Amino acid sequence: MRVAPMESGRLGRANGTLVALVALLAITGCGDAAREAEIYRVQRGYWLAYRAGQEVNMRGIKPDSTAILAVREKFIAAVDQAAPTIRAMGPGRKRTALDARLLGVIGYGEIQAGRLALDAGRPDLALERCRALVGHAEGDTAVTRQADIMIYGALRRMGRYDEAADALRSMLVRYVPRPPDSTGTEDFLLSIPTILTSMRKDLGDDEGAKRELERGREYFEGLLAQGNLDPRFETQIRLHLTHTYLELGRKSDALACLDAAEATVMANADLASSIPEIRYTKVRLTGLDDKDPSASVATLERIAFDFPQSPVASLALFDAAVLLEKSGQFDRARAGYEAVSARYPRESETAATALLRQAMLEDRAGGWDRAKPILESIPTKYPYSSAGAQAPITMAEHYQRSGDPAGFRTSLRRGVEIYQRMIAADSLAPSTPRLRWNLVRVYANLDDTKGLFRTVDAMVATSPTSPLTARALLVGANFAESKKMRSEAVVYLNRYLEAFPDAPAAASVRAKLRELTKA
Amino acid sequence: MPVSFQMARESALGAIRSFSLQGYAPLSVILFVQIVYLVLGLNLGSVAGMATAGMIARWIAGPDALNYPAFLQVLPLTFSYVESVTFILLGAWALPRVAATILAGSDPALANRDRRAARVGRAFLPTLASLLIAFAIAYGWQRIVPFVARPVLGLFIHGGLEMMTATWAVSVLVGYAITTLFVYVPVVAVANDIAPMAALSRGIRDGLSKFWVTYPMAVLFSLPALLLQMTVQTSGTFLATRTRPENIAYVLLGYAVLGSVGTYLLWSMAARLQRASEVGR
Repeated sequence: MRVAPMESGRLGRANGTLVALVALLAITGCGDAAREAEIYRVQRGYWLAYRAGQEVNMRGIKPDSTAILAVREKFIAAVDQAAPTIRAMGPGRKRTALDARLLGVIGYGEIQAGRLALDAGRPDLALERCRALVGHAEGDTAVTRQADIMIYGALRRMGRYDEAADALRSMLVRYVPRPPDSTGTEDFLLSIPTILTSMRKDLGDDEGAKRELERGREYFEGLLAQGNLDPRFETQIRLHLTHTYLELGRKSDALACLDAAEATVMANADLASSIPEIRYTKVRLTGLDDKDPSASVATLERIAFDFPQSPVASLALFDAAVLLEKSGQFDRARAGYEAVSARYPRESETAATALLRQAMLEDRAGGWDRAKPILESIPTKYPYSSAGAQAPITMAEHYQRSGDPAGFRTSLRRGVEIYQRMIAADSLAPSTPRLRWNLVRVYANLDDTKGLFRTVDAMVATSPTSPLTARALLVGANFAESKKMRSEAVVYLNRYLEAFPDAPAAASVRAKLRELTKA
Repeated sequence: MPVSFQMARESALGAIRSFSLQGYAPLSVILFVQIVYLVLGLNLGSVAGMATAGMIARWIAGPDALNYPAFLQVLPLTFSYVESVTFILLGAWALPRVAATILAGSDPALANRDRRAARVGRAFLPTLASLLIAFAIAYGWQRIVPFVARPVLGLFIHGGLEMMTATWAVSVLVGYAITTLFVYVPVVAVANDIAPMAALSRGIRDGLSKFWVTYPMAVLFSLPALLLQMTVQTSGTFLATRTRPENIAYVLLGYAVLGSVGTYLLWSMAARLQRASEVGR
């Protein structure tokens, strides 16, 4: 009878082992605990990175790139904790809800790290990691979209504008735009054609801008052709298409498209928020060419009065002032421009342009004392606006007209300072070629050979295909020739032919080159 | 013999002077479980932490509580549930043992190990019942605090941290008053070999009769722990965002230790006061 106790002892041990195994399974990896714990660790890493960022910002001075990259490293360290899991998931595999959550959390960290890399002037770092992220995060998610936008931003910052445009354009193919949510927020995809057009315009590439407009038109028309669209979504698309038609000079198509949008809005009471934009666009389409603009001015001012919070209110007020200026009502126009910059100071591009035009009117009315401080204030208030870049030139033009060479040179030198500061703030921004082009003109007027050559060289290095670079090369060659610097002129003309062999001016450049080399 | 504040003070001083680890040992089991929860919570990034403390947090506060630092921000809430459950279940076992150790010196029946074990065993049910009732009433009170206390306090205080602190103070003081009513149940159950229902009713009667001398002692013994509890409950977000979220867990750790010692002192004092009043009777 000794067997039974032995058996029972074994059974007891077996039961104990089983209980221990079950307990171990429950604690280690059974269920979702392992993945939840991994997500928690990554989130904790983000918190530490966030705190490190706060400490950097609390030092009171603008953090340098080293400090920003140190914070970025913390985000990367947090993200990399989950790297083996992400690799194991691989593309194309079936994913659980927790896998998707982990990817979302990782995506957040990568986006933060990407932003910091851009802030630190290292877009290459953001590009590399965001491309990897897009590879892992399949489908149309907030993470993939943000990563794509980050890739575009990084490429743009690196001066690789064509690749940046391709990256952004690929989003239109890979993602389907969504109807607005309850807040009415528009899908980012709908603004991509406008962004690409603006980028080409900033680069001085009018042909490229037109190509982007045509692509945008095809895209919007394609969306409308799908039919059965949410009325709010349809209105948003039609408004974009109207603006595209308008920029392409297809006024009747624009008007027809706007009428269709208006019909949709009138049939749906919850689309009332689109009324100001439709009314404004309609006035722009039908009224801006009128010889007697009083009706258009009244309508535009009415829009600004009725919908002061609408994004088009500042534009309506500005356009009304432009119409008044064109019809010779300078006092009213000046008051209109003043109202735009006073009421909508945050609409930087519109407010800055309004200030510039106000100053020009003051100057024209003989009030240079009033115009001068306004012009001087624009680059300070709106350092990245087109008007900010134009203001120093306008001042120089005033002194040239009034035969004040000292004032002319002083304002040009001030222009050099402003442009150099604006370029230093973001040396690879799409607006930089235009700023450098302005700088070339200023140096030419100042007769500053070194400055002019340096700026043309910088344009060749940073935006080699920009039409503004083509113009700068020609200015550089002419300037060099006028200074009897033939070899420099030959170099610039050769560079022109290498970069723009099919440009309309290529034939005359070849002739000039032959002439210079023969001599 | 009617109890006086002088007797209560003597009992309280006796409880402090004669504090011993052996007497406190039963309550250390509750403290141990609470500390384990907090340590696991501090290690939620580990699988063991997530599978235990994380699971409890999800059950109480939902899946969002598993994020960092949300878990630590809701830790005062989840810990209060863990504290209540451990105190009710393990307290029903531990509190009669604490009372028996104190009373053993004057009660020959409790000096005998087997008889003491039998009494302590029989005290489990009335103690459990008293703790459950106290918890249920305190829980109900917590639910109505915003509707009862806040409007009254609003007559004197205008929002902000002062309002939060005042509401917390009223809530806790009334909570302690509720607990005080049931303090004598385990003591009576161990001191007298009586049926569970009799122990429960007599314990509550004693709690009522000794309320005005026991209640101040209960608050006094718990004061250090209450100060820490107030810190996490009124300034939890501040602690999490301005210092480190983990500091909430460390403060709760201090609260658990001080609260456990305060609990021992309260029941030790109650047993001494009960003995003194029985001697007088």
